[in-house]
Amino acid sequence: MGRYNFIFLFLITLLAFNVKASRGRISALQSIHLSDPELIYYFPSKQIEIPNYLIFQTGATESTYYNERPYAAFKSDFLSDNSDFYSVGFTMGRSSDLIDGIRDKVNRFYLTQYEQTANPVDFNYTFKSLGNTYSVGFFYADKNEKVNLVGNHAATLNFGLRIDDFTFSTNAGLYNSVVDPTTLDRLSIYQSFVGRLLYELDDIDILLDISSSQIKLFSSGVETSHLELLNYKMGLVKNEINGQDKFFYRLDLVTEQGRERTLNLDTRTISLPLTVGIESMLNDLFTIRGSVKQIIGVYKSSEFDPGENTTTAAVGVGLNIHKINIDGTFKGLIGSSANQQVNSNQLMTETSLTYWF
Amino acid sequence: MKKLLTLALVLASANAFASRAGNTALGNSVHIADAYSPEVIAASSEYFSIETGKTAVTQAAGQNALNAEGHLVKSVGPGFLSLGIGHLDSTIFATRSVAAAGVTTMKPQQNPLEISYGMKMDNMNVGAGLIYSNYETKEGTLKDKESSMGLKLGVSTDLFYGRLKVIFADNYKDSTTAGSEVEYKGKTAFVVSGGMNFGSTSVHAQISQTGGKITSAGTDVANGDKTEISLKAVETIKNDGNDFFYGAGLTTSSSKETVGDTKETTLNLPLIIGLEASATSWLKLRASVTQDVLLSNTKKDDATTPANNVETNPGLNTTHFAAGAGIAYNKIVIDATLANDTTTDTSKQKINLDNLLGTVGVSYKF
Repeated sequence: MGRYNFIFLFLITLLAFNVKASRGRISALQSIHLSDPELIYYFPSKQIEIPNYLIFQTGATESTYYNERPYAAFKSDFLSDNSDFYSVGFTMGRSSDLIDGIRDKVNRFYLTQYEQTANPVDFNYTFKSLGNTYSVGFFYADKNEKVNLVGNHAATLNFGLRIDDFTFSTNAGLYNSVVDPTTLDRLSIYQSFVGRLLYELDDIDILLDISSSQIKLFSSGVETSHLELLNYKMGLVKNEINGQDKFFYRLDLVTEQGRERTLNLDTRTISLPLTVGIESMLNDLFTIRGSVKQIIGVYKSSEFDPGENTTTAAVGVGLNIHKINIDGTFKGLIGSSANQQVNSNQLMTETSLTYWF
Repeated sequence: MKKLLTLALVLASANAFASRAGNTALGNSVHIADAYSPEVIAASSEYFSIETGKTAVTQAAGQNALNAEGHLVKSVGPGFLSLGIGHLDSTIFATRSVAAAGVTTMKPQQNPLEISYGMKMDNMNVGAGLIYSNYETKEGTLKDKESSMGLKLGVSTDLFYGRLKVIFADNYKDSTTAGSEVEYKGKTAFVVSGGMNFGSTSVHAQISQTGGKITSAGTDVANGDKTEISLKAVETIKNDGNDFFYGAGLTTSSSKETVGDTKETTLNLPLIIGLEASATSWLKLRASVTQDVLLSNTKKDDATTPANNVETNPGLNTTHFAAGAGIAYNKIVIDATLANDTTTDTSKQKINLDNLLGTVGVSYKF
């Protein structure tokens, strides 16, 4: 049980720290708070603040890891007759943070191979009225193999609201289940929920994030595992704008709690990650981004106090040509196993193309 | 062997943007300022630098050039505050690398922090800094812990600089197997360095005293001390934005280990030649060659196992080439080495698309 405890805690912490909730630009900055199309998946009401775009994100179609698949996203505003306006956003192929992120955690902890969602679509409708912004949307993915009854079903409802400097969002999982085609074991994730709050005070952003999930594994119809996850995160970001350059430092307080009822295991990790990042325009053509992230001060759980080294650096580049952005990260300069090299074998990764209307 | 105190002194330059790649390409010449020294921070400007690399490196020689780290210097009050995250202190890393032979699970500093503050006082730059790291795993296949703490002081004027570093805590313990704990305790380490400027000639001296003790199940298995002295001089010739430099030095070390009754002494006369040239307004090219000349002596006496005795006078080839480039545009500087790591692999003498830039770091000047 001690071994499971350690592995469980290690993986929960590892995943929380390495959540690739975004690509390219966000990966280079290791922070989701700047205005970016990726921010819409966390605060859907922000959709109306971002110019219209069409994004093509590279990835591996059959990647088994969270948020490494390709996707395309489109967003457009419409001005209504009474001067309020609304916008519509549509994404196909992008993993859901609430659905696929949890499945990824389950796979890493239980050493299973449950698939990510298949052919997902995400729709978001945002409208502005009387100074406030509202959004509603859904995520849906479905796959069904009828011979062996191997299903992969998921859906969420997403809501967002912006009032003055406060932005709220919530994603509620409607259903999330998948059957392993090899073992025919079933994973069901229910009561999954994430709520977020963003308060923008001049050059300071305050973020709150609460998420929870109930996870059950079944084999031949019999429950074999039951896992409960509950995470809190509070972040404080200080932004400095220097011409067209953006510099920020961000401090988060992250608490991750897990209860594995079958193994009778309770784990809790508290950490204080610090992120410092910069985005600078070299010229009209190139933008360089980079960041360093490390847990400082507090990094404790029942298994360690403090934990192992967490310093990660990331560098990326953006190519800006007229209305097109090509963003990516330098493959050799990002992540926990970066080899510090830039060459033809270690060039760009997580590359995306964005066209701004 | 008697300790030598012959004088050849080297002065560190005022280059406060000494990135890892830049330093490597210039042969880690002592005339290049250490960006983490408090008095250098006092005379610097606001910047943020990122050194790319791995999250987890092993405790082996050279690995402290492969880790990810960041360095932020911001103006606070009358001076500058420096925050270094992920930076592995060279003195602690070197001492632990020696001890790693006896502690196979030894780890480098985990989540290290360096906080320094420097400011100008009249004609002088003064600064102080703290080094800190702490880690402990209580469960799992490896139960271990490490900690370190140190203090840095620095002062400089246009003519001279002086630094003091004291590492008063440097510990690692592997307690995976109860009753068979292996523990390393570093002795209080001192590094005193200073230098003076004589026009285009700079001189530098450094004396360091380090050591450590290893116990296994409460029994001493190693107890070592090491004293290192280096004296170097560098001549710098500036011409149209290009810097050519050459220098010579004398370095000696003396170490002893009392449990195994071994002693080791070294005496080296390193030469360095280097160049930093401005190819264009946005491109700097760097190259250097270092080598021991005439003196490259090592003597190791192992009273317990005489078969391990070593004496080379002079020793093996030490010629080392390094090259790099720095791209500076607007407020961004990207430094990298070229033809990375030419120590042993002859195929790495190439610069092509497969072997282009290494040890890449990015700096932003506010």
